[in-house]
Amino acid sequence: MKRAAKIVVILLAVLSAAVAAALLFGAEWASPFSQDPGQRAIFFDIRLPRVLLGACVGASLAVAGAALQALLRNPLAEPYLLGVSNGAALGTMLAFVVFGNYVFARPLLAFAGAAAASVLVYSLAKTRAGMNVERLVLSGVIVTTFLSSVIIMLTTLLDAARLRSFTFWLLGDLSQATWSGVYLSFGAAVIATIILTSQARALNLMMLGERDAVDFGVEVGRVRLVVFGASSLVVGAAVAASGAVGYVGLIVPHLLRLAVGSDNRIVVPMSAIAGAAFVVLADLAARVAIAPRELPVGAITALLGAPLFVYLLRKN
Amino acid sequence: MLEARDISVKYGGTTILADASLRLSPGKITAIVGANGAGKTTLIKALNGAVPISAGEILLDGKPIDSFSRSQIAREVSVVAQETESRFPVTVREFVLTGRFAYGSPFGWENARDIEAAERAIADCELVELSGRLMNDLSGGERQRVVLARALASEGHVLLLDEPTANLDLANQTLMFRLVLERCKKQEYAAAIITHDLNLAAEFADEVVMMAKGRIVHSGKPEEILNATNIREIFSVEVILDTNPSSGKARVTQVY
Repeated sequence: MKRAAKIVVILLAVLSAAVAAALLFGAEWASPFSQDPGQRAIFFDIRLPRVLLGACVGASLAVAGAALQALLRNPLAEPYLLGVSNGAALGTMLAFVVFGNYVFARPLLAFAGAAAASVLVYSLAKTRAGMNVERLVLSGVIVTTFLSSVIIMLTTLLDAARLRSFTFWLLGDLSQATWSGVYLSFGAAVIATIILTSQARALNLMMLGERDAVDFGVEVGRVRLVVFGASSLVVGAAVAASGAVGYVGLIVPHLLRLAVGSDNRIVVPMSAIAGAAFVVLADLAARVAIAPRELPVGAITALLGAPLFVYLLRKN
Repeated sequence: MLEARDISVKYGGTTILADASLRLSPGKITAIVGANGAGKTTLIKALNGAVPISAGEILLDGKPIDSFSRSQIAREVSVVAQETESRFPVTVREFVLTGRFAYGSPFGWENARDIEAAERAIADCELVELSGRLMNDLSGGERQRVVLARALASEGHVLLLDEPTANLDLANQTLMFRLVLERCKKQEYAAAIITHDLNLAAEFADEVVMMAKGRIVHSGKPEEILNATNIREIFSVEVILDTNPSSGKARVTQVY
């Protein structure tokens, strides 16, 4: 407990530093106290929502990743790799094409898409004998590629200008951040973190084996439903706001487990804080790497996450 | 006390377990023996309600088991399952503490009572020196002892053990049986143990249940049940029976 408190303090310090750095630095320096109204506008109207959205999205994806890994007994489970993010992306796109600018349709359909993809991957990966690592990863690949091709087909309905911003969004991009997106994904992140943390004791047993979890008193079916529901909610909100940022849910819980061990009562809530800091920093890197041009943040996270995935797969 | 009355289990259309009746009473050890695939593990899983039964009834302290919640059952019935492997780094102490799940609330941390139960189980299973080590760094026998410690930490008064002595060396086999025996005789636990070792069954069990093809074919006191005819029927092997000179119990020697 003492160690956990210490790590919370460290993580919050890192998050604050990351947020401050991401607000001040970028293609150009921006200070909230500047005499120049242009600088203040960059700080408050452009960077602030973007950085806050990045923090919410990072928290969302990391907390979902941590819980899904324990639920599926697989350190390689992650919303993006399981196809959950692409399910949400397809839902967002459908809302965009069908409901046009009716903004609240997007997170709703994103949630529905994420939930449908979760159930699909789970039922593909599950056999009577249980679920092995390879089968789950392969099911994720199949669902992801299938959904991608549907998304690509839908993009033919877009004009050229929209197509470019859409391609960026699909890779995971925070440049379109709006305050309504910030509020929505902040709310989803807080609710999901609380719900998923409430399942952490059960997840501690489930990550050791589903059969044993039943024997020791876990209502396995209910835990599965709650975890899939809450992670779909949070991934849906994140993807609707920022597209499919990959590997956050893989990298962050993995590093946390190295530091604090596997107890989900610590790993799940702290993934939210660490994930927020991680995406804020990754987005800062995406903005300054080739300034004044920008990379999508998803390109940075994938660049870091893919090698870690290979390492974890080999270690298994 | 746990009792099964004429229970059957089906997977899909196939019957895995048919018309099995069994009574586990306080202070008694029941050994379940039989060839691979005879339905022993399914019987154990059905006894704590982990797999649904298609016929019959299971009574826990006289009441139908499906009138209890999973955590209520877990506080009464402790299970040692065949070992499963995890990819997450978990220490021995953390692993044993997960056995206290049924006593806590969703957000709760373990209280002093939980920690006391876990530490006593760790001490009983001679794991004190290993308690900070990671499960994945232990030998098969050590891990099996940790799995037993977790079951003991959950303090159910009925113990269901699925081949707890598989992969164990002689010293650990003895330790395992001694621990179960102590709980049964001193604290009036009831226990059912699946084992392939007929001599261990003869030595420690109060009752032996012989299974074949999803049915209980013989059950009774070890000296009545463990005879050459029954063993030939169940395992298709020839044996010689005599008396163990040290304990006076039946001794089974296979003829190759």
